Amino acid sequence: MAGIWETYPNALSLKHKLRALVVNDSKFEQVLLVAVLSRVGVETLVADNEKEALEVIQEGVILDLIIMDREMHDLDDGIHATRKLRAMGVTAKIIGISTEDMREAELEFLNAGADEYLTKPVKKEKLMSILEEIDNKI
Amino acid sequence: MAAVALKEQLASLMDSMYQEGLLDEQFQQLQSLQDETNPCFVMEVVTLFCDDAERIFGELDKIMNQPVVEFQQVDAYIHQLKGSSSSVGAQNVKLACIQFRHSLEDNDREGCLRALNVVKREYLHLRSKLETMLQLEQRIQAYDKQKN
Repeated sequence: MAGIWETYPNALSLKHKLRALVVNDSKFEQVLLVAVLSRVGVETLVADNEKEALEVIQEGVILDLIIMDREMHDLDDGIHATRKLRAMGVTAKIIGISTEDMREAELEFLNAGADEYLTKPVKKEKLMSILEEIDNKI
Repeated sequence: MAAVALKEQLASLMDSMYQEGLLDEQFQQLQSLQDETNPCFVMEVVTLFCDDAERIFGELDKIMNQPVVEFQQVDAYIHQLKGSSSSVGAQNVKLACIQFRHSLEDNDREGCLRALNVVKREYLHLRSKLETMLQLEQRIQAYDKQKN
């Protein structure tokens, strides 16, 4: 069975300790994303909804990356949450994710302040390249 | 010897699951995240996926039994299931969800019920195979532990 280190040999080369927040109300998807991020040493926090995500920011946690799901059971969806986070001055890279492979969904996220949009399933190689990009910019 | 036979059985089961379209390459990504530090990762993820799917089926059954079906709600739940199926690599379940969403365009209860049954059937078929896979993995791990 190939490990993530074999499939992505540069994974260990992150120069900085990165911190990410996964905003997703699905326990299942939280576990998946945390597993991928923690394998490359990214400290990962989890928020079930917009309210919890805002609390993380209000506590003064500095983040490098936020992975925001579009569809949550909460009244406010990921696009609304992205807009709120940007309004609070959050500068972390925000990646919007959704099941929809639609330009409309992507535009909604980008207009709300997300930096990038990915369709599920989120490929770990893509996530790794985003982390490397963040790491290189610090 | 028994461990070798179990490993062959597991490999053959996995091959048939990929060939049948029950799983796609996303599931291999999940498997690649399992190692000595996290030996139960696949089991944890599969259990969470099944819990999630069954919660969604429960909600859909409730909605479909209402005198007036809220098709928007049905769509939202199927959308969620499509997302989690896609994330776990449950290809046929995901495809059945896509078909279901097409059938929602007519707002037809009978059509929705038929489509829901297809999704459930695909899910139950996958779950049964995943259960066998997990049992085999557990037995292999137990043999490996004995050996060490």
